Amino acid sequence: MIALAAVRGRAASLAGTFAGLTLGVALIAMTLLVHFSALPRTPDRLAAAPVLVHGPVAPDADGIGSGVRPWSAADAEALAGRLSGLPGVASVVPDRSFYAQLVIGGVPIGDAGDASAGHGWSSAALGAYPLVGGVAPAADGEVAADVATGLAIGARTTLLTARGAAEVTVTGLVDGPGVYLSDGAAARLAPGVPVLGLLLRPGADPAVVAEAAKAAAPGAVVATGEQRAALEPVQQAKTRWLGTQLLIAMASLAVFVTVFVVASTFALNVTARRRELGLLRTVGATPRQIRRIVLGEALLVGAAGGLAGALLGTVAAGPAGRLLVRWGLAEPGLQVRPQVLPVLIAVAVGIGVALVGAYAAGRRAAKVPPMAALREAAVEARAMGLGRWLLGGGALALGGFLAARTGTAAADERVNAALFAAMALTAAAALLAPVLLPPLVRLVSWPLRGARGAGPMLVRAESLTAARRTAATAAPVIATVGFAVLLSGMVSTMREAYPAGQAAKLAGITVAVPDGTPGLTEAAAGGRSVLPSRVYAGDLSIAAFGTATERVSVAAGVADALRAKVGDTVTVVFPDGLTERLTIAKVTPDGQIDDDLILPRDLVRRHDPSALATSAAGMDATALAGLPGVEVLDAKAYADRESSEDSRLLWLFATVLIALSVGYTGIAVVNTMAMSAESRRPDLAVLRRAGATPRQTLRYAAAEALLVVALGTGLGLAVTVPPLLGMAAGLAQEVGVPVALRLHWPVTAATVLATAAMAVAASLAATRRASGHPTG
Amino acid sequence: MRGTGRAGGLDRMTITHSPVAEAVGLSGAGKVYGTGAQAVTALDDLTLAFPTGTFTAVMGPSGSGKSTLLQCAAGLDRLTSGTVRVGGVDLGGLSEQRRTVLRRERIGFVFQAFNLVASLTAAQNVELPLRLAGRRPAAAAVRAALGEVGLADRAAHRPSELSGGQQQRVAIARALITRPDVVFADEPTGALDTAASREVLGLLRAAVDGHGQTVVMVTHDPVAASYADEVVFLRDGRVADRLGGPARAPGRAEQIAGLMARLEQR
Repeated sequence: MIALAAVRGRAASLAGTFAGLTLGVALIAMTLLVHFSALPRTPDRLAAAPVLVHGPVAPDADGIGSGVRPWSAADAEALAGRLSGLPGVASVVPDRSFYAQLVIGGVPIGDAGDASAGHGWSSAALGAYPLVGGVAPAADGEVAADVATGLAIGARTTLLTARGAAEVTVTGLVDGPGVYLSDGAAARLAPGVPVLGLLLRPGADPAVVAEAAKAAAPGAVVATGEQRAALEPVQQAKTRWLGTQLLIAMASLAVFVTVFVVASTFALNVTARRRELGLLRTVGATPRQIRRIVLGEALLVGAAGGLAGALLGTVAAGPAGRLLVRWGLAEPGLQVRPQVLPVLIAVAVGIGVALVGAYAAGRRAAKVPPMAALREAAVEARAMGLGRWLLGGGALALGGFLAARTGTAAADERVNAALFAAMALTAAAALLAPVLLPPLVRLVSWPLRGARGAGPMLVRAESLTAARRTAATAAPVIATVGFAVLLSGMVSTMREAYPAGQAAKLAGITVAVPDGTPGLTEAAAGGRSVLPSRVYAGDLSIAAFGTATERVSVAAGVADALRAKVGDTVTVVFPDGLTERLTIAKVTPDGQIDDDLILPRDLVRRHDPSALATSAAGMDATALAGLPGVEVLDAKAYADRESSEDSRLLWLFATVLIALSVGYTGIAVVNTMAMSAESRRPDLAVLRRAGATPRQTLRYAAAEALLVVALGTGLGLAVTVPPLLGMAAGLAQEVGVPVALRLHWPVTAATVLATAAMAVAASLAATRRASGHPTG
Repeated sequence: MRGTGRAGGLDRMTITHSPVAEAVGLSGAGKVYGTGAQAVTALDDLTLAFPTGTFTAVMGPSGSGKSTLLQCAAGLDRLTSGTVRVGGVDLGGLSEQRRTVLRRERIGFVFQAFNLVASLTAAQNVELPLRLAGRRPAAAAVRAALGEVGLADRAAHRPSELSGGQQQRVAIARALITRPDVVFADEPTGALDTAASREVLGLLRAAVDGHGQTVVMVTHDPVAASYADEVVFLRDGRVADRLGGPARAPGRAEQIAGLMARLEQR
């Protein structure tokens, strides 16, 4: 009853908590809905096969990419023979995927990132893609093309495979995506078979067939129904992984910031209600009952915010999904469906977050002595409690230590050290604000101390005497500005540093890169380019790179996963399904790019006829002129192109996170402003009686809000710039060229202006409201 | 004789071993704030009893220890030395939890201001102690309590919709609803005009006369003190003077004012 009445009676002061929780739950519900809707689906082109038999799905050492271990052509044929004898099975189709791309008018068509659009003709049956004209390809030089390409039957066109460009004839048109070659040609381009599709006789039960298939294919995975989603294309898995990273970042930010908002608003709440809590203690509420009242309020506000957030999140999920698709972080086919489970999870998280946030406030409330009810005026508590000193001091020490370490840390650790240093220093500044701010206020207002008007005197005195209140409003400003400066500065510095370093390394060299294709063919790249492929060892899938070397070297992390050391022999399966024994000649330290497993190039090419080079350095532009799907760039252009996708994503992530955090701290700023104005009601009344016009009162309030934002901005910059300088130094060492610190001024300025606007607006609104009824 | 409407009476009998003539008693009570050179003695070996069914006013110059006396006697603060008994139970040995429960069941409070929880209605404020004790208040009892202070028609109003005097009357109804051993009132009329003060004091007087309640009131107002059966004057943490009844005798307020003035001159 008391909690309910308290919530009803103080709706205004709980509005901040409610807004924070609503936003948090909406974000969590939205991200979960998008995530649940973007879960792997059975690829359309395999959907007509009720039972799929495939090799084990092997994750790589990072757990990100994965691959299906293939069978060799001979093993696949033997297995297909056994499976086709099972009752209910009409036919067994070995499914092969490889790089094949049609070129129309000199321009490669289709998805530039798809390196597995090519299949043998028989695979078309697995997706029930019908032949809508012509005949199936039966010999080399014949293809069946997607009817959507607009090609005519009998047309001559260019086909790109990993070998190079070749002239082919379109013999058939199929109603479905992909490029279909004769089964013979497919077997030469992709000898290995990762999947066998089982087409069933009418009336056969997939579950029964699957049981029989399991017995006939020991060690294989037999998938029916939803299980077949494990065979989604690697490209899609990567896209989803990227999208998931953004969703996770948004959801975790939502959780942490909501806890922060709830904790700070509830803390202020408890301070403002000391007398009332004391009264409750006096008339017989036990400390436990007081704690339950505070937590009960949190529960009520959490439930209300959760409900509002669930609605908002469900509405926002559709647009959010479309945005992810547009940003290239989700597959184009993504349909966000309203679902109950993700929304329930979000609401539960919201309520949990409210309780966690209110826990500390509840403990403090329980400690309010009954005598608090007897005191005539609320006395401002000590500026800093012991806990705050300890936490602030600890954060400062940690930040200082980390900042010092950015100078001495290994190059690749510096970025992280700088990040953590800035976070710790931001926390320290927010925690120690009650002691840091008064001297700063004195410093800033020193030139004005002789001013004639009452304004500077009042603003100065107000900010100085209520150090804790000033700190409470400054803390979210420090956090917002610090966060925005740190993230935007980090991304813009990295955006400059990496291409500059890359360009310096390749100075004077021209580089051939794919143009509208997923990679370079052997004809374009020549025999010296790096050839990426994938091998399987044990349960693991390993990124392999064919280079001009005779020796096998492996990254330390992969060596650990394989439990192998220099001199050991490991058995690996190549994409063609054949096995080789490799003797490890060298183990390289982790952290360098593209070095999981380095193999002789011709070994990779022998076992992976469809491998594509990503780029080829030192190519002669004139020699490559006229080849489809190739472009020759100089070092600078190449470096920019290489990093453009990374920096696009980095910038996207940073922008989304900065926008979110500004929105959140906006809530905190508005809330603290409103609550502090509420607590100053008597002061305002005195001011009015002493002859301040309403306009003057509002001006003082605005000036005070601006002063607080200015101080918060200064501290926010002060805690992030030194670690950023350390990071720039670390980057310079890493990439080998001088790196200047780049602050992103537009983002920084926009953040400060937005914060200042919100603070002033909130302060004016709250002051106007508080001075409306000038009784205490 | 126990009143029939007295909730929890059986429990109370198991604690109270003997019938008590004093509702609250302090013996050898001492209270020192701070330590060493900064130590301030607020109560100095004070022995005092507030008999059941009486109205006592506690007066004294500021710093005389009257507020400390009230806080310690009510179990809001702990003594440095000596004992306090409320309804025969020694508060010294009780934990914070037990003291809170005892306060809830045996002591009522009326302060100078801010007696009510702003978000609760008058009726809800009155039933607060019962609810905190986990009991479901009977609507009739709450109505009757508000009726006794003349606010039956204000049950659904929130404190902001009540005058200062009405708020104090709600506070009295709340203090009395548990039929406590003692009601402590700390300057209950300090923020009221004369007419409202008279109403509030009359209600406290009626609680003593009509229901046999015990009231201990700290005040600096001789008129308020004139409603009490006995006035206790404190100075430097000791009893400096006492003035017996009868209450509201003609010229009593002037008499009290004279005693106060003498006390402050000494």
